[in-house]
Amino acid sequence: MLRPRAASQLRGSNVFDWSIIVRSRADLLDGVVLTILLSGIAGALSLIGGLVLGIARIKCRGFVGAVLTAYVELMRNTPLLVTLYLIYFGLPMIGLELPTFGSVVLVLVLQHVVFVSEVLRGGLLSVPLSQIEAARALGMRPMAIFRIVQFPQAWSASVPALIGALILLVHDTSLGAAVSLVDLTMAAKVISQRTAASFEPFVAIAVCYSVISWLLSRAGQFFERRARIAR
Amino acid sequence: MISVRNLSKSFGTHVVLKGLSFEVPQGKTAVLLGRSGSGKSTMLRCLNLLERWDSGDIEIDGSPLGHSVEPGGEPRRWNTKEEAAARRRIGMVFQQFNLFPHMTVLQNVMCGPRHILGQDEASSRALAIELLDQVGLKEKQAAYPAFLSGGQQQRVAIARALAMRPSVLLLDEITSALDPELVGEVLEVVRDLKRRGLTMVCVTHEIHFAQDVADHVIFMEEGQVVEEGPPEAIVHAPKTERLGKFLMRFHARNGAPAPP
Amino acid sequence: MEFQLLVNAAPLLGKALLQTLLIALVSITLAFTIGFVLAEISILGGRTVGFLTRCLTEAIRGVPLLVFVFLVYYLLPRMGLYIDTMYSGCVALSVFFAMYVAEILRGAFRAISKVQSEAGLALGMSNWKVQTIVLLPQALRIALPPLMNLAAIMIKATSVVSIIGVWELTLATNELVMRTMAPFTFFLAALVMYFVLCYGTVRCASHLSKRLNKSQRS
Repeated sequence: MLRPRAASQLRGSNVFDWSIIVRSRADLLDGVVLTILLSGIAGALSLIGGLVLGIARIKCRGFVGAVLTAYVELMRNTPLLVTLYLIYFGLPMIGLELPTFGSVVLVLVLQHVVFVSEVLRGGLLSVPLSQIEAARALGMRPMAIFRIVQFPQAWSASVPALIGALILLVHDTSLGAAVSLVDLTMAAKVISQRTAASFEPFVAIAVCYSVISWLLSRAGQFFERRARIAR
Repeated sequence: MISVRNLSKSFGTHVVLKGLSFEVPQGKTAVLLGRSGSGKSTMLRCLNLLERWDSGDIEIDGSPLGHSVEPGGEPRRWNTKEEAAARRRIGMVFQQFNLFPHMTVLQNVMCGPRHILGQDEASSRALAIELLDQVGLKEKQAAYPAFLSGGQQQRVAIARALAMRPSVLLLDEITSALDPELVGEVLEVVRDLKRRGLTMVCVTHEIHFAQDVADHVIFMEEGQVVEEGPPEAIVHAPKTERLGKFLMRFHARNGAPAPP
Repeated sequence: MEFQLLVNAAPLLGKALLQTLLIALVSITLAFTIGFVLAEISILGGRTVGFLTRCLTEAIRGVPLLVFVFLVYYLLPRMGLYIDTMYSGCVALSVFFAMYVAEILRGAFRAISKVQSEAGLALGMSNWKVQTIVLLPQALRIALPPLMNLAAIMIKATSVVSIIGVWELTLATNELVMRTMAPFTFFLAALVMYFVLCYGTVRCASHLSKRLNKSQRS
């Protein structure tokens, strides 16, 4: 006959210890909230910044265009972690005291405006030239052509890829733990230090991240199907 | 009334238009006929400034196209705003229809009056519905272009161009991309526009279309006018050898006696 | 930016850079191997196997790299494998990116027109022969540019293992900054070094793919 095991007996075994996760659920919840907050703010800022950057890269030739391209290539070919350390340790040295949350948001935005701008640029360039000609033939001015013909189509074509970029952003927030920002990953570290059980908290957060990623990618597939129907 | 005088244009070293001249009287339909590469499409696109020419003049309804003459006497080339303004009086229909896929049929036709001419929603909508009725597609107003046949899409494109109330309509190979069964419905719309007295310039390589629609046919080859005249004369009694050669395949397929 | 500090630290940074390259090369090799095997299994193994491998791929890709690194770091001792942190890091990087390799290869196979395998079968080839003689060379040609891009991404990703204490360029730079309080000098230098490595790889990739595709005309 099965007797219910005491929690203390479970802890000693090699089996996965669920009780730790149950007891730390407050920390985990705080971590989830912070991660979502971080992703939301950084995501929104990256979206706006990416739009500006994408349009600027299409429009600006010459020196400004070269500077923007250099910036994009720099962000694409360097690790986010090193940029994070640079900002986190470097800014106080030149007198800018940003809270940790702010530094992490700043670095995430610096990195992800590049992704967003590439996606939007691709979307804008994918609108067929024949459409733009038709709009010109009607007598539309360039600003109106952008607003009415190019941007709406570029946007709906870009949504699936933008959601992919958002998933990457959520993943990149985990690096906040490197500078002790109490996001989901840091929460796991804290719990593991407190309870001396290292494996379980990380499995828990892995599941959390998986669920978030899965939900977002489902949304992405939904929008992709909608975009394909509209064509 | 369209007047083209001595128009020339080159793309780099390739000369596309060589001193082209012709006139299209008010309310008449001119057809530019010729092979691919004869320069006819380029000529048409010059008429609404989608292409710029190197030398020569175009006048539409008495005013010069593409530049204004300052009081001092020096002609000044138009800027983008002036070009866009001119295109509002000149309508164009394309071979590939080029409808905006993210808008319904109704929105496509309303697009011009609403967003370019700044008319209010209600009157734009009323005008669009009236035009869709004219081309026979009123029931399709809520559909998206992707769900329409080629012939239907082309008729919507015509309605969209007409919504701007142009004084001239340019038609660039509008039946070339259509399956043969669908050409008829588009031709019917064009004949209707003729009856309403719209000045039109069409480009085609299909002689059937020219016969059907033209008041005046202008046969072009290598950027020059080779022969022009009324459709029956052009098709059945060509005066030049080059036109004769062009027509040979047409006549062979149709069993008519070969021209002299 | 203090250049004297940089010059003094140059040998140390050089060693750290080589360490990063070593970790990257080991992980890239392992990732490509595991990913290749995974792709082949999912293609040749039928629908259930394909479904299971896709589930595995999605599960691992749903987790951030850092979390996966931690998981592997704590999992291996649980399984009784007490290995050096560096190997733990390499294992984590390899398994994580193997999923991406598998995706790229599967996409490359899908991109080959179906008539190719039909042509092979019509000649009397077995499924296995069709795979190796007809499809694989074409798939590799298609997959090479994205794979090399992935290699560049993996070089960047090695910085993450510094968080579990593996000594490589990022950790070395961190330690130097702690000692000298000159963050701009060293972190900027690290950024430049990573940039040269990654950008160089990407350039090689496009050069290689242009040469490979000279014999094709698409």
